[in-house]
Amino acid sequence: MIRVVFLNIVLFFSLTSFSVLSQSKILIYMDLNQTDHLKAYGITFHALERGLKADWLLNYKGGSFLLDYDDKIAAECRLEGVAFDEVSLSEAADIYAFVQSDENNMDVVRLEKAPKIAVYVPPGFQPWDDAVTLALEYAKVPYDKIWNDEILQGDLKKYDWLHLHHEDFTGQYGKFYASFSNAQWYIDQQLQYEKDAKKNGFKKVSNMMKAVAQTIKNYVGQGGFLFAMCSATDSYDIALAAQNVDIVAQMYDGDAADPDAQQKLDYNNTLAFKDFVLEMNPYVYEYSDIDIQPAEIGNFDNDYFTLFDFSAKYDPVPTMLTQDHVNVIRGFMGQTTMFRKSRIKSDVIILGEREGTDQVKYIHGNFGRGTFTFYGGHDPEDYQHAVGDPPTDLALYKNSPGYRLILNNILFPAATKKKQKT
Amino acid sequence: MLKRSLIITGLFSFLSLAQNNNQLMNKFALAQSFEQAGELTKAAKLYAELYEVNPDNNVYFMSLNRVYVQSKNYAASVDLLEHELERRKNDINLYGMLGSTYYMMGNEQKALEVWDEPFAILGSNPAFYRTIASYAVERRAFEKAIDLYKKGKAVAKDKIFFSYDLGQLYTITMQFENAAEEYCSILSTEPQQLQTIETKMLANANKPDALKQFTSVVEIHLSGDNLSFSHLLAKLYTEGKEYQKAYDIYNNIDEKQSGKGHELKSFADFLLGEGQYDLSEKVYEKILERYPASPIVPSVKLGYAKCLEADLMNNYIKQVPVWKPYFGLKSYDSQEVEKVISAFNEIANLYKNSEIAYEALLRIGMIKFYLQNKQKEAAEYFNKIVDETKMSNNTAEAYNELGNIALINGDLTESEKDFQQITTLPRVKPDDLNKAKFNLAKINLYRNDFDKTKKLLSEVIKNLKDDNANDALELSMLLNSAKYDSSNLVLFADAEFLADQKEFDEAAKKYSLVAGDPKAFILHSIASFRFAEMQLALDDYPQSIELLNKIVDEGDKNIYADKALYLLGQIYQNGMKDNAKAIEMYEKLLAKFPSSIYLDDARSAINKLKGKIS
Repeated sequence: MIRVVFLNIVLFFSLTSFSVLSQSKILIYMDLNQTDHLKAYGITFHALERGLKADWLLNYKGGSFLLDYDDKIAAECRLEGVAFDEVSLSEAADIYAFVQSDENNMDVVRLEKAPKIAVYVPPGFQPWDDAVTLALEYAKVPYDKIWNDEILQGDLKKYDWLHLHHEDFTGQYGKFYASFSNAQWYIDQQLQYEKDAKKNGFKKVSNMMKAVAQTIKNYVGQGGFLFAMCSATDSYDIALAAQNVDIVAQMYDGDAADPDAQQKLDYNNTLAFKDFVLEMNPYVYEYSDIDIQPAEIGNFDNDYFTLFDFSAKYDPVPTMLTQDHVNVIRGFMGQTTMFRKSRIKSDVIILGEREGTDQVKYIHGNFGRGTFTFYGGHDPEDYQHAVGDPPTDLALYKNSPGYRLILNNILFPAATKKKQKT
Repeated sequence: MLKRSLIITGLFSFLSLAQNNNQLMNKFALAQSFEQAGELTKAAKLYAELYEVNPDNNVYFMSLNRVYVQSKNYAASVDLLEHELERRKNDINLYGMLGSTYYMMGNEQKALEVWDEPFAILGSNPAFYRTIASYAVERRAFEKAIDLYKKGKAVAKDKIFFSYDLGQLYTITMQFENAAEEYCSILSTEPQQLQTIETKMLANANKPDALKQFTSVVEIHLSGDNLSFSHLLAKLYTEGKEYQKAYDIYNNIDEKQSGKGHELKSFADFLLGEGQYDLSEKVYEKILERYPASPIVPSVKLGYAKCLEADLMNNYIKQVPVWKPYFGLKSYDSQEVEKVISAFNEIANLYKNSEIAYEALLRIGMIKFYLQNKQKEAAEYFNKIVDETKMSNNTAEAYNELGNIALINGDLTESEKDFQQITTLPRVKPDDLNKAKFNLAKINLYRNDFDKTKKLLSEVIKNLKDDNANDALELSMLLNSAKYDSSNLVLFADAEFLADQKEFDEAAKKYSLVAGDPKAFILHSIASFRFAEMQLALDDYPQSIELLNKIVDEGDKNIYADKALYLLGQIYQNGMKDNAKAIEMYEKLLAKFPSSIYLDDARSAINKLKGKIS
């Protein structure tokens, strides 16, 4: 008993030594009792921006946040409708002890600094075109928009975290040609890309996109955090594999694709995927066999994916990325919906999948000094988001578990690097 | 014998030719199969053999060149095309194809030279320029295509096609001024093209700077004779929300053509929909002044009246403390009111016994009742509706207002009769029916017939989607919890009746009696709150604040504590104009009552006020 009390005291002082002056703490619990999970991330982010520290209590009440009490944080929680408890220092010590106990699959991760966020989006984009920007806007997390010019001129080094909008890195304009080649937005988009390519000294858009993909890869290699959703995942890796071969048909770049394109792909150059077979038909709305087709999902009503349960103490990174108040989440489609397991490299960690199938939703891996996370699907709260559909109003989905996964990725770079236990 | 030999030789020749043809067809089919399977080298070999046998067959030639291009064998494509050009120097398409191949090879300079070649050899035929330009467009060499179209236009007799092509390309390349110049050049000779040009310009008006550039060019081309420019400019002004400028143009168009106000009427209707009441009113007036005998006059008058009414209501709302739960009726007399009444009266007289006329009568009645506080006159208009028809969509509303007038005058019998009538109407809407039942319940409450009140409330509550359901639930809960405290309940019902009659002073006295009885439990809570509301209706802010603060201090003991805090915020915000204090109240509400239904309103008020303060 005395040993337990002593341990509590030691843990308490080791975790709160920098904040001995604070009289109590704010516990933003993230379990089913939370009123607005998404804005809770914004509150924590803002606290970090103000130079405060936050502790992420992995697996404790759905992945809660514990912050030193501050009137501004409390007022912001109330204003934004985020539920919290004010806990005394002794209660906080009990929580720390409970979380760090070897008997529980929980751990504490210190969040130190708000990451600088960049979102790769074309000029004229609207926040509702993309789930990540929707979540950032809703949670009031600030971000910068960058596009090809900025990436090619080396601006990525200014940022800790980069999100890839659902752009097509292969230079095939999303392979919308068959359905939308006469639509004004498609025509405008193609012209915009062509102008960009010309401005940056590329004869073809596909060549510019390959250069952009390679620059992003270098950024990750040097310690950047990359998060991609929907078609930015597979099209990005395909662009890396096709660095030395033309895989693009005439209607996209003005000349025919290399007849031996498939054989000339270099899978060593990709981050996540291997051995994929390209869809060379320019009229088919698909890049390769990485993506799971709607027919393979079966009954859409049964489309749920499960998050893996990682060891918080031994695998803190995947644990952070999978913090949620539920571990079975409704699926959602996109141009790239899910990834075929056989096409995923063996060193990539699977974070979420449809149990009993080869359909993987959420993956994470390391490259060089950085990491990448790919999340299939377009909008976690709009099962089949189509071109022209209205934006999702996140005020109606404050507790969206699918959106939480996106926001986990934003706070993940704020975590202090700990020595790996494995 | 000779004849027989000739026949046999002929037959053999025919069979040999047929066999040869069959072989060619089979070879061609095989080549196509290889091409489709992606075996481009094999396909090219077969197409080359076929082309060698029959160089005049254009299908073989085109297929061979296509496969060369697909397999990126551009050198072979160049050889083939140059060889073909030696044989067919006059074929304009060969120059186009050869230029395309050079372009795909990346040799853009050579491509441009090849595309220029045919004009020196074949002369300046406008059709040639179009053909080569289409190859340039296909390769997305837009600047070259523009250059070719310009040259073609210079030598063409009919320049319209070239102007359309140029307009399209200038738009694509974001050269909107040039595009507008091309479209204006079409309009100057072919005004009937207006619709097409308008569609093309408006489709691109949302692009950066496009509208500004289109407008500035069309302004220059505006001429007195060709009204198509005026129509186009008016549309562009409207798109840019420059409504006054658009109106000036439409006015001018109307003067110059015998449109009899139709164009102006469409514009006025559009302005009404956009909430541009002042200008739409002006336009309607102009039509009435200019065409007093036109068949569109009735609908113009209706639009005009709606305009005036919308404008009036906007101004009226600014004068009335709508943020207060209770406030007295004050007369809002102005010339504006009379103008609206007169406009609706005109409609009511024009379309007697029609739905529009009943709507006009209802609106006049409402203005008389709520804006002018002339209840007797208002009742005349409502009575006219209910006397003339039981089938109108406006009858239920007219009965409802008659009931309200009777209620405000303390005549429960008359009021009950009116609300009761609504329940018997053949085409009554569910919402109107529920509202009538709720009002009947209130009348029974004022008569202290609590059982009947509860019965009626239970009918309203059946439809929880109805707007009245919340009020019905609240009143029902009150009756159930206070059923053993009939003396206080009677007192409270009396106070409610007085409050409905806008007798706030008298009502306050009765509420204070109930509020002063701490044993009255829930009645004490609500009466305390109402007491504060009455002081607020009487504009006694300090007293109201004091009472509300007492309720807040009661905390969880008073179920209206959160509502009281919210109302305190409203008083500071709207009554005392003390935004800092208002924010303090709203923040206190968020902190003390995290489950309150007023949280969202409080949050949006804080955000709004913080925006103001900063």
